[in-house]
Amino acid sequence: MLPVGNPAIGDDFIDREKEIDQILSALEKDSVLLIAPRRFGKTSIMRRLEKELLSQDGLCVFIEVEDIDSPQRFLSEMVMALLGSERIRRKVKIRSTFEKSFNWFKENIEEVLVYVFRAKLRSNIEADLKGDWTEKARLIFEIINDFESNIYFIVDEFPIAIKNMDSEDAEKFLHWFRKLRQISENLRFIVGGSVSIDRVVRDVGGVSVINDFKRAQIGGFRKEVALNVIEKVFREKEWQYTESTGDKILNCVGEACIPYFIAIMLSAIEEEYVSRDVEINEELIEDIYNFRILGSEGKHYFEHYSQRLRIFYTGMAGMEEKAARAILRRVSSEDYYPLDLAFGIFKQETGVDDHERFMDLIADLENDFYIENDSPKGLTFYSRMLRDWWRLYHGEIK
Amino acid sequence: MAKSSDIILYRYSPEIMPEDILRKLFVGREKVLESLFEELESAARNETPRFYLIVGPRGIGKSHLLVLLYYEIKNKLGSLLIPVKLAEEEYSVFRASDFFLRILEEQSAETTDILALGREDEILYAALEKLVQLSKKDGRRYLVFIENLHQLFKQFDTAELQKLRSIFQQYDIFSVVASTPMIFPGVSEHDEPFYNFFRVQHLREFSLDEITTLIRKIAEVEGNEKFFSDFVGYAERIHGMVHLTGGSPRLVILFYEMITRGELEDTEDAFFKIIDEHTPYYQEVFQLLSPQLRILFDTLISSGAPATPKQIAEKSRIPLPTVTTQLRRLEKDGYAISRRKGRHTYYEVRDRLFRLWREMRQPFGRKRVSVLLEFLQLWYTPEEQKALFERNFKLLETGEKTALRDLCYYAEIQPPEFRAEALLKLAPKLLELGELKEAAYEIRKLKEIVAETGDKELEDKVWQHEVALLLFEGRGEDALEVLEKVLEINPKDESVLRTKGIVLSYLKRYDEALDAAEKTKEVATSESSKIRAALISIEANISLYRKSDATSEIEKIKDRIPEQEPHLIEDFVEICLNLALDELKAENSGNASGLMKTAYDASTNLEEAKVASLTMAFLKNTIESGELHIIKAAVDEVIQLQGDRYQNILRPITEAIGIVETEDTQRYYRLQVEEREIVADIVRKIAQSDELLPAELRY
Repeated sequence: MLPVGNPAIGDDFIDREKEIDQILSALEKDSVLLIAPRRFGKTSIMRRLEKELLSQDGLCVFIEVEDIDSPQRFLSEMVMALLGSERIRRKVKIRSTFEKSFNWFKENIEEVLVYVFRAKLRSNIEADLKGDWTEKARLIFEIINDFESNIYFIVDEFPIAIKNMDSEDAEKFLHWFRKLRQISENLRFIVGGSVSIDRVVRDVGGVSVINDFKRAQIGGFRKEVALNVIEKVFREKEWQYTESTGDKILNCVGEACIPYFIAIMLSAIEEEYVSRDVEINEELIEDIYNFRILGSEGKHYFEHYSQRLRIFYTGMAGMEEKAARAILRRVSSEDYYPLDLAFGIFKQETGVDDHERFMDLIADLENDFYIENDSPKGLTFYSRMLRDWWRLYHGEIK
Repeated sequence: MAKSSDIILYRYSPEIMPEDILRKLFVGREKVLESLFEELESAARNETPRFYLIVGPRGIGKSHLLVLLYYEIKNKLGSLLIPVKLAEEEYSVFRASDFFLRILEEQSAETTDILALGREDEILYAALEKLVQLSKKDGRRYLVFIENLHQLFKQFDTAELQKLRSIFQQYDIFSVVASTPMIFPGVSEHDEPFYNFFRVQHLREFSLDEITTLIRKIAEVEGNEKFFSDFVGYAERIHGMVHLTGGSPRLVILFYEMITRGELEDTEDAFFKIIDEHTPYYQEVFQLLSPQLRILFDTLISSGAPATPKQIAEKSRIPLPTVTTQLRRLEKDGYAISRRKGRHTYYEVRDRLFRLWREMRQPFGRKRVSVLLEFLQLWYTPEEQKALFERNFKLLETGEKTALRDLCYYAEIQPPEFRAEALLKLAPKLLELGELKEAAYEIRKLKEIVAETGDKELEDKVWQHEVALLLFEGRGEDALEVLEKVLEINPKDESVLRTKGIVLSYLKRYDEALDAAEKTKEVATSESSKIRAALISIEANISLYRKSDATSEIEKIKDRIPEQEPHLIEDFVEICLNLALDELKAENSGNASGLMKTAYDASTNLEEAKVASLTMAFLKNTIESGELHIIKAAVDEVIQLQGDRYQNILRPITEAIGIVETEDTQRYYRLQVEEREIVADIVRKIAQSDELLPAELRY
């Protein structure tokens, strides 16, 4: 069954071959930035990439930096990940190399227990990086650059770490990080996170610090993959599967076939089945969609789309958010909404006749997967489920 | 001393129940358990983590489910998973490091070396590394069971929660099955680290069948054979309880106890206790809601019955679109449920006990707590309801005023065939006790019954109480209006005419009162009715200073008085003695003497104590006059007529007279101490000063 909430790893992970291949291919030359809104499966993909790279005999570490709040901690996390990787320790003499250059290994590992040793090591590294960390960082990566193999760093929740940092530190860190990527030929980074990185870096130095990343957009499943997923779950659960049932579920979820939305539908079906022992048919699915997903449980899943506007669309003294809401309100009530009419709404809400700014807003809404600009038809919601929800809760009152 | 409800709840606490009993009493959630177990097994075999959050109100069976799942995992998946169960309340866990140290502690792993590190971050990572090490060594992963997750999260600040989530994301060796009574901001708010992290499973209430099954199983476990033989009789009570409180397993256990113990009065105590126990939890629920949601939720609760969004919007004065949105949110978060009925969707609070609790928080007053009424009606049989009323009424009659509140409830729940009778008994009692609001309520109820049933006999009784109430409230004119309305229907109703006379006297319209009394005599069908009318005439004449007419009337009826009902005799005696006092004041001692003789002659069939009481009242009034010669005359007459029958009553008065006449204050010291004060009081009234009082009794 698709997990809801935590990342899909191992057998939970469903086919994303195209995306994985795309990213692996990009990694040959560049570092990669995964773009997708929350719940699209970025972390799951990252964990899958880790597995793939390891299976190709690569040297790869995965770090999650949501609770990181300084460049020093970021670096110590990276170093600990390297030192913690058995494969890396086997392949390169990483520990002895670091030992020569740094005074971190104060405890003798034979004398203390391993977990104590590692904990102390981490705090020794952090302590050592206090003050001017850039010099120490340079030394660290000089050592890493000397390794013959490529090393991949997969960094989850990177934008949150940047957000957590003091702005001066963040700006310094981002510039350093960019320079690192440029000079280190054997290093590759795969970064991503649930918060839009562009908006985060805009406030601390501008998007130029990340314009070297190859961007990989994570969309929903392909339809045939999505149907396979649904069928697989039905068979596992010994529910009666029919093509029309699968189609019905996907019809509710919408064309983007967002894994999380599929998981929610399946989870809701399971809850109904377990609690009421009902037959799973199209009528039940319709009811679940209308009364649970859009009715009771949906708000819980979709509310962040609305909240995100308030948190991130703060330009033009709050007018940007107003304009965004007004446009989405109109788009939710139509299949396609003409772009020029959307511009009219923009002008009305902001009082500004600035087409370039308007197009920036539309681009942001697209990047954040609210809408698509399906020229020449017009603007449409990316996901049917989101559109239906938006219309119900934030739509026009007729 | 622990009540049995405490004991049974303790006995059936999942934490201490043996595993076999837990399994035996596991009802209605078999599929949920199976589904969870299968998922966890599959995830364990695939080496992937899972994070579940079981949501349901207090008493719904979350602990039971979690503990059983724990045993299932331990027994069947012990080779793959290390189940770790944290305590229901973990007050010392407020950092990520504490959390992992607790897991180590539950595994009886040594932690002194970790704690010796001192720095928090070091402790955290050392604990984590040790867990990783143990997991690798065993080839097993951790499955942590956490109850009251909302409480635990409250203890963590955001940074610690972020650490925890980060670790869960990064380390695949931890799965969590947690429970919480309600969806809380820590998992539902977008900005929170654990937003949408858990897969939520709501536990629903039991159906009637499931409750019945559970009760039977408890009886089996208790070896309660009698219960099974009497089971058919209990079925309706169970049905009623489910309707009232929803299908909460915890309540089911208490019902079982209440049913089998069979003690009527304890039932309510247990009921209130259950509700009261939930207070901290329900208060917390309110606190978790935003102000607007709170208003809405409270409006929903107070509706009493399921309501549409439109009805809620009108009541709360919040715009309808907002109400619709927020009601859905309340439903999503598990506070409310919706049901489609025709074209409309109705919402009600999900946890019915919550509704009861909220109603119980209202101050007691005329607004009966409807839920308690429902409970009493559903719980007790009609015969029991009647018995409860009778029992408490007797208590009230003995002066036990604390029985009053319960009595009002019992009156309300009386089955239709007993209800009017109960209310007719209660209303005058309430008037007597001065509980006018309560009396008004009961009389209103009586009028409703009259309107429903058209019962003439009842109607006749009801207006009497209504008039009495109005008089108590000092609304004589309104009382008269009621009487006139009744007379419109039957102008010759002697009872109404008589009461009219009383009311007119009360309003000091004595001539009209006389008129009413005369009319009553004309239509009176019984001797006592005529006597009553005569008494009204006498009093009206006295008030009009027509003593001779009053006396004449007294003469006419005096010989018939001894045969009357005691209260009529009392009224007559009182009137005569009061008139005698007036005559004494007017120095008509002959008349006074005659009236007193008439009074005592009429009282031959009264109880001794009653006559003594009337005599006492007469003498008190006499003393109030402060006139020594009047008091002396009255005392002399009483002695003349009654001999030494009332010497105990008369003694303090005669002593006081003696002191006043001789001015000898030393006489006090020949009296008993208790008597001294009484005598002094009388002397004070006669002498109109403290001069003849002993020093210690002067003001």
